[in-house]
Amino acid sequence: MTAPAVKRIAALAPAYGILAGLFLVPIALLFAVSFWSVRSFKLEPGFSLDAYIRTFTVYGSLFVWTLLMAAAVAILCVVIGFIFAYGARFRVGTHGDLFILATMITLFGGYLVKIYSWKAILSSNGILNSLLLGLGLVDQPVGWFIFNRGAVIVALAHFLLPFAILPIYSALRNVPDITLDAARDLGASPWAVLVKVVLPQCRTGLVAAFAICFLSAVGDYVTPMFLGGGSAIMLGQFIVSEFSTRFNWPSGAAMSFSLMGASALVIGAVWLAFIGRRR
Amino acid sequence: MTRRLVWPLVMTALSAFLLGPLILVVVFSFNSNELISFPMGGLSLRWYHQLIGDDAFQAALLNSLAIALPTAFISTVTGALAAYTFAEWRTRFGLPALSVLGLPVLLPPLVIAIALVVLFARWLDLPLGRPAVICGHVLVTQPFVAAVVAARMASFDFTVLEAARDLGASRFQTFVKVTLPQIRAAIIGAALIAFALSLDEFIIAVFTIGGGNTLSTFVWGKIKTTLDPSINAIATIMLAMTVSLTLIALRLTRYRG
Amino acid sequence: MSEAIRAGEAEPLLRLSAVSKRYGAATALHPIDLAVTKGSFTAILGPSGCGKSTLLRLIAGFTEPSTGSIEIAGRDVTRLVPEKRPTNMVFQGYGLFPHMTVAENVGFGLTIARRSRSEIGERVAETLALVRLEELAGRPIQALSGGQQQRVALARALIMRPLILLLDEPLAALDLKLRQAMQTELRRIHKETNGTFVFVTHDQGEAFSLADNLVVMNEGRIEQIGRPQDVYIRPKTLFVSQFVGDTNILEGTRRSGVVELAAGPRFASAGPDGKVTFVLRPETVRIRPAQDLPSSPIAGITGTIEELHLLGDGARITVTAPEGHQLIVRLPNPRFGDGLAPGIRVAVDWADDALTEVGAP
Repeated sequence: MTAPAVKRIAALAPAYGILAGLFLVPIALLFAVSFWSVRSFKLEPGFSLDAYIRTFTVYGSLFVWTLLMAAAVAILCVVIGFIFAYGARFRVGTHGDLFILATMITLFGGYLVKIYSWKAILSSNGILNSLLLGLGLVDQPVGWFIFNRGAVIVALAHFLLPFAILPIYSALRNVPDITLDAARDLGASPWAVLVKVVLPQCRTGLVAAFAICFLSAVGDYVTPMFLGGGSAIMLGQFIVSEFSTRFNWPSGAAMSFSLMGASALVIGAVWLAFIGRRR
Repeated sequence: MTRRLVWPLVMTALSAFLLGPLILVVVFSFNSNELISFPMGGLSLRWYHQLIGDDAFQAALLNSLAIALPTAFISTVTGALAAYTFAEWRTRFGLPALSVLGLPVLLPPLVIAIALVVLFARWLDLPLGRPAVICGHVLVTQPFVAAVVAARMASFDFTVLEAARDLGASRFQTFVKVTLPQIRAAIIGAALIAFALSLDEFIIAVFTIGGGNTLSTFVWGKIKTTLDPSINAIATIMLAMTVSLTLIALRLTRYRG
Repeated sequence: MSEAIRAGEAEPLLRLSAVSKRYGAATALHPIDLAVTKGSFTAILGPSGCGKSTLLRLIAGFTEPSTGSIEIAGRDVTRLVPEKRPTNMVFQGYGLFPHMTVAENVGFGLTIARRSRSEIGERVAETLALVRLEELAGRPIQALSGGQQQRVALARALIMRPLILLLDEPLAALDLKLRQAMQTELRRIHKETNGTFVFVTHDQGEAFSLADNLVVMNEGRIEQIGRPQDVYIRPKTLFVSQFVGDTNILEGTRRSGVVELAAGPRFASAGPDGKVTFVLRPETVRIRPAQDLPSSPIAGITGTIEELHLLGDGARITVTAPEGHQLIVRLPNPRFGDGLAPGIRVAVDWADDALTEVGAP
């Protein structure tokens, strides 16, 4: 082997060593554990599909609900994210950069703070209710703002929106202004320009935004735990309890891998529908 | 005239949706009332005073720093080395190979957390604690560092390195005097992003910390029980740290997604 | 054909009346009038930033004029949005849709107009044949060369059968060989489609080889409109004479119908007294060694050859007269053995009508 090759491998070793040792191996081990079984709180190695069967029977409807919630959040984020990114790119001139900056400043922080702030806003003795009471719009605190799927979707969408805006915005930045002019020149109405010229050109950004938001939402358990009310409404909550209170690791692992597999299918389907056949 | 206002209004409304909840938290952290609701009381620093006197808060802050600093250092070294090596290599496998580093970010942090717990507790028989948290955080921050440095390297002119060598500089001198000054800003920015991410991360931390608290798990412990106004103060402190780190990092790297 | 005759013709296809464009305090275009007749090939020529692209965008509808009105085929289109105008444009940089094939790009306008699939197919094929791209119909845009992309852009606009085809620096991105080939193509297509073309360029060679009607612009104003050869031979302003080709500028004074140039010659020329400026095209200047001087030169200067550049298809000679006045002479083919070489004393003169008086600079 030549000297530069050795140096390169040495330089790449730490990053990929960490990836292999702390990610690939543990995930493989977790995958193995998902086929084990548990007898009286003790793990028993082996090959059993019980944990998977349990996931799709006992937790079947919750599983589907989790996927639906994640899809709702992802679609909401892609739609609002597109509106925002489109406005920043084409409709507010040089102020666009400022609006994008506003989305980026909280990109690398604020996860718990955001969830908490929604609780402070939506709870029955919270900010929104006190405002409504103070303005005389309601006589007593509104209870349905919080502890339901709607509150979870709103909070998740709020947290994930910047992650949808950025890929869409960077896709839109690659859409030449001149193609918009050309379409209008050829008779396209503003709506036709949007549908036939802008959207198709940024569809990879849209799909990427959907994937990021879907993946982040589907595995979240903190938001539903805080804003979803007493009973669990997303699978992540059960994965946590299987690990932390019931010590049923195979079950929690099987739920995790089922969820990831289903997510991969959903995202694969979205990708095929919007991009695959055109490449 | 009214049609011209539609877009600025839409954009402002959406920005308000994005930033409003955070601004409320900051505003209420200076509110003297016990209740987080309108009408507000007077301006007060009482929640900050209460926090600073709280030993548990101090311990959590120290823990967080003791995790975020090594995390930022390690992931900056590993991520930047990987990104630089592939850029210099100029192989077409560089970009796909770098994206592989991003795999941990694609999975729910919950899965990474439990996989690490299983690894440490079951297979390695090691105790959980700060090192375990650092492992998890390096895993999820090094792809960000690699992305930022790779973006910088995309516009890096490698002929200047050949020019430096041609003018008599050694490999090492070239790196220190020519390469490093050009990519230093990106690397510092990437380190700040890694630091902010680690500081804010909750799910991996809560599973792998074992005993004790980080800032995130400390906040978690508080919000789980009640709406204690002192949470607003911690939240504001955390926001101030991550937002200012992010702003400096964005400024340094000119990174745009 | 002078402008007076032009104005007397039938109603022009495109008429701009007192059209101007301001951006805040900056004026991109001073009020201008312009008429374009059906079937003409008009070139708007000027340096960058002269307002020529603004003018084109005003005609296409992408920019609203600050004052004035625009009429196409007798209809006021001043406030009409671009998608409703009977014009189509070949954009600088083309603006092709990267997510579509060649055929989809070309058929875009008809698809928007909800024409039948069979009609679209037929007309796309027909138009691709016109620009000689039949074989590439199914290709993605990225797989095309610059010259091919330029033809797609042309086809995409032509298929709409616009009353006026607008071209914004259509050939600027192509290399020299391709540019010359495309000029020939554009002339052919103009003829075959009987269209009315208006194109913007900063390249005078392109303007001259394509246009039958030339509009020279500078600093947001129209300097001159006319047939290319008229503009070349009889530039109205110093700017036009300098921008359009090489030129000699001769200054002088007129007293009671006699002009005396600073470089020497005197001749009769009617006009008001005062300072005058004449331009003289280098290729209209005659040159010979001083000993061959005819006994009575009409108007001429004697001097010394300063420089002689052979250009391949001719020669460019700089002659310095005694008082430092310089004159550029262009000879169609270098006549070796004529005794022309640097340092040689020569006499230069020109025919009476070679001098053109221009407005004060």
